[in-house]
Amino acid sequence: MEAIMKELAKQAKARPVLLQKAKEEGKKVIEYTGNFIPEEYIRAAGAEPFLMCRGGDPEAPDAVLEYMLRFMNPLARSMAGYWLMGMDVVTPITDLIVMQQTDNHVGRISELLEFKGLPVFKVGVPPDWDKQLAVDYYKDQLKKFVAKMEEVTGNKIDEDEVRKNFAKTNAINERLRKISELRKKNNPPIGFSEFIKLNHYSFAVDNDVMIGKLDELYDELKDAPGKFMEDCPRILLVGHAVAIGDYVVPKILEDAGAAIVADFLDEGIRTYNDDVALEGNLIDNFVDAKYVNKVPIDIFQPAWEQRFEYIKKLIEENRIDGVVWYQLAFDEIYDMECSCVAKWLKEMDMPMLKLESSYEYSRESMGPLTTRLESFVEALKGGKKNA
Amino acid sequence: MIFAGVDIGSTTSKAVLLDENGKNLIFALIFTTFDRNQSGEDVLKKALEQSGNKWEDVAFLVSTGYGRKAFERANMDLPEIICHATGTHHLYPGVRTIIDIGGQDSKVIEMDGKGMVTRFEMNDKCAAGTGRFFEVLTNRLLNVPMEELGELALRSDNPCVISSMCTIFAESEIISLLSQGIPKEDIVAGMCKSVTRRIVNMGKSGQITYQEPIIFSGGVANNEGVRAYFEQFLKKKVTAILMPQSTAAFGAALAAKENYEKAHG
Repeated sequence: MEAIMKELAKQAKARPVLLQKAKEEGKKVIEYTGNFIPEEYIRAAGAEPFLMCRGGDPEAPDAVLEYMLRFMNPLARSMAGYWLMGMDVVTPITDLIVMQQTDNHVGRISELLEFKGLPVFKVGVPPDWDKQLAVDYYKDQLKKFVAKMEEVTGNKIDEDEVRKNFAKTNAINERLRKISELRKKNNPPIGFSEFIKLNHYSFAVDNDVMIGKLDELYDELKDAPGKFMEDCPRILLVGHAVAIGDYVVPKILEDAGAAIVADFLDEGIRTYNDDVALEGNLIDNFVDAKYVNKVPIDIFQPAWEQRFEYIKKLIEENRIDGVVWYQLAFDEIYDMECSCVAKWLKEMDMPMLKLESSYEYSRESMGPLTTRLESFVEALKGGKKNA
Repeated sequence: MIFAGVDIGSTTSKAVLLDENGKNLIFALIFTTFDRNQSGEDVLKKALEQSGNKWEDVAFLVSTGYGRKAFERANMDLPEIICHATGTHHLYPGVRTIIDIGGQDSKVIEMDGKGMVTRFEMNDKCAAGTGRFFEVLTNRLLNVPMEELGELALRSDNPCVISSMCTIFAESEIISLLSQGIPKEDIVAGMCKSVTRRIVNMGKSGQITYQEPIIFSGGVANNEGVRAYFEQFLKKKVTAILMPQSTAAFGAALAAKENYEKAHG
């Protein structure tokens, strides 16, 4: 596994250089911010997509404070922060930043980027996903996004090309699902630290290469021995996002002897359970797969009970011993949902640990964070021993 | 052969030594310095000297507390929440809730009555609601020794309302109260009440229901005023543990004994 991960990391790291080269060859570079933007249309328009989802450094969120209040989540702030710090090599060459408007945090950051003169295109994603009016609005937004892609690239998007790209994304999803299934083993051969990185690499590495590497990895892992201690606590990670670079919490949990065997995150991970159908209208299919039929993200309301049903399903299917709720600072809706989830989990006798990150991983902050996570894992170990 | 538990906290480092039968041999305490490894060495040395033992008598050593990972001599480290629970359950079998207020953090730990932690809440981001709150405000403003705070608070019939959210704001409030001639006991009682309210609410926000028996530990458990306010807020009996600063080190020493015995049949 190590060699494959290393190779993928190398290729993902080289992505900005490839983008620069593509730009010099006359291609357009399009950044986008999340799962509600179909990158398949960007590729089909002949442009190069790049996911803007980097986080985990305290300096980047602070860099926007000259323009913004601090009461926004650190991932949204990082979207502008790295660029303001001069640490983002893609945004300066980007031809367009497509930003899904899922909450006010990303909304305000979109405006900051516009204010700073960057080309921003907003795609509205209404929170009342179960209403036809919202579905129609989102579809209309996606049609405008497609038209914008054609305008920026000067290329007419060919529907068959989009279909081919969706087929590749589905193929990546299928392989991620197979690898994720291996986490259901009593002692999984892969941890979340690797699994989330696979997701992150898949946004940056060439799709065909990624499909090949995921096949190789699955072949290597399917009969491999477990990488954890026998009978280690099994964790479900629920939350907003594990951004590209934000690997501290999974690492501490795994170092403490727990295995994160299931995840329920809204961003920073592929929606690998939700394939887009390839027959018929692709925008309709995308909206069905990623908006209408998918388990709603936290910000969509009223969805908490539906989301909790999904949490319960994951707990049962993955024989979960404890839930770690990982939210970002100032994520008020996640905070509110967490109160309900904590109460419902307590009624189920399921231990839960709530964490809130402001991407502050200084030496002084790491001590208390490590204490929390290790205590939680030790308590779960004790619970298993006494069961 | 002895077993050692060393708790390297943010303010003080503590060591507990147990003999082969798990009896408490000795407890030592020093102030933690910037060098956490050295603090561990120093407090263990002090305990060994007090007990007349030598370094080589220590069969197994478990470190805990904020500086646990820095202590190179330890055979293993455990988070302090687990050690608090182990130590407290040993002293008070059946304990269901532990309230611990240390120098730099505070914790509410819920237990199953059989020694297992079922959930916990921690305040580790802010001095409000910790021993540091008292340290900063009493030393700087009131000129009252820490050990007299509790007694002073209990004398008050009219506790002031003081911010529970921020030590800096609380400081301004106290300066204002002093300038108005408000008696010190009312201010100190207000501080105790403020810390207590904050911690009770912290636990409640984490679905902790404060089941009895409730044990109060950590350095602030020496403050009788805070204990009394916990009882008032919770309407339940709250017992301050004896030698409240020793619990985590004691739990670590028990874990040292258990792990040694596991490894050696």
